Amino acid sequence: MKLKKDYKVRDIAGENVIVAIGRLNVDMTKVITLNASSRWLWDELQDMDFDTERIAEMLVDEYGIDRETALDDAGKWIDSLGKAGLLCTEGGV
Amino acid sequence: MAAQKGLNGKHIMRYRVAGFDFEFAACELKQLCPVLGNYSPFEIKASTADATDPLFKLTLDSRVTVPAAEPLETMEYDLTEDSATLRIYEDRYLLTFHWLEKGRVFTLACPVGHEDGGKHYECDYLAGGDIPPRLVLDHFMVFAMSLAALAEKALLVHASALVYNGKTVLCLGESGTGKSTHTRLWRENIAGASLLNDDGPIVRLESGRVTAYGSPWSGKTPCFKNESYPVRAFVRIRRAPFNKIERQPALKAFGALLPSCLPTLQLYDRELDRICAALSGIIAAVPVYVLDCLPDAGAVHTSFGELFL
Repeated sequence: MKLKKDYKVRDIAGENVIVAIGRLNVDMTKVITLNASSRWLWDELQDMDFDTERIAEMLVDEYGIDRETALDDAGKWIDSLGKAGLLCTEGGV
Repeated sequence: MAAQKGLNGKHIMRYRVAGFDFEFAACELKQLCPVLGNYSPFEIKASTADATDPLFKLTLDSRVTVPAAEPLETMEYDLTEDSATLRIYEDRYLLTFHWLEKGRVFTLACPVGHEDGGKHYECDYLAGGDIPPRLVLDHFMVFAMSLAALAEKALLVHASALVYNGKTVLCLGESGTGKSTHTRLWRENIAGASLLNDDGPIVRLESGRVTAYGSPWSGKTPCFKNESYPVRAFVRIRRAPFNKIERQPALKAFGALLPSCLPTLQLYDRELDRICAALSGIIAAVPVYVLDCLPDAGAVHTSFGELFL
């Protein structure tokens, strides 16, 4: 899966806010922010194809956490981004 | 109205809106004067004009060609009785106005990237030898001004701006939600309240202070005031069966303001970055509220009570 291209993280009032290009901003009742480690993953995964395994590896390398926790965190991260409509899967949008 | 002659023989008229100077240029500008009533409060006479470059110059009688290359982005949208198409290229924006009743088309070209010496924009508004409806020029100017002023942390905001006690409150909301109704009710119920602009005031962030300016673009209400006031608050209006006002935390404040900035400038990172940067500064300096309300005097007392008592 990949991150959708229409979204970019911007610093708004000191927070990492996901702002979409164009017409997608019409309803901004839900504003999505990323904490520091989420932001780091977001930046690293630009233009990359990834899966839970790959993210887990990155978390282990970067933060030195154990593999199980990493897999768990990776799954949760993918879940929340998926729910927010920020991911596109193979062959899908 | 005094039109000077520019270097290439074109007549020039100069204006100052929100502290930014811009110029209209064309071979013949005299016949345009009766049409420009909304711009005249902002006119700068030759003798007081600076020697400095204006923020942008708009030539009104150019021939504008659409490049053969595919644009990076295209957006088509409807207006009240017409429609428009925006095309974004690497080095310019092209905005085309479709005057449906007469089957005519006008185009504005705004090059981007070469910012020194001011920006040179062009359109074919006067290239046909007649004077098309003013709303074509105004539509182009709202885009041109918004684009040019963005680099200076100024935003043209879709809002109705009221004035009370030397401060302004900008009421935001989708068309039809009641911004103009709310500001009208203020004037009917609060002594001393007045209108600064009913559709497109310009907001500037300067050294941490936020000021709103009147402009030539005021929607259906002819309110063209060359005045400015510090912004007391932004109030996003939502229709409801009750009256309640609630201050928004920073991120919701951002979410309340972004949709009121020009949608055609949110299609490309370069411009959207600047809008976000300006909004980030604005919400740090000025409170943003959501007002759920009825179209009645009670709504005015709710917002007045929160903002001025």
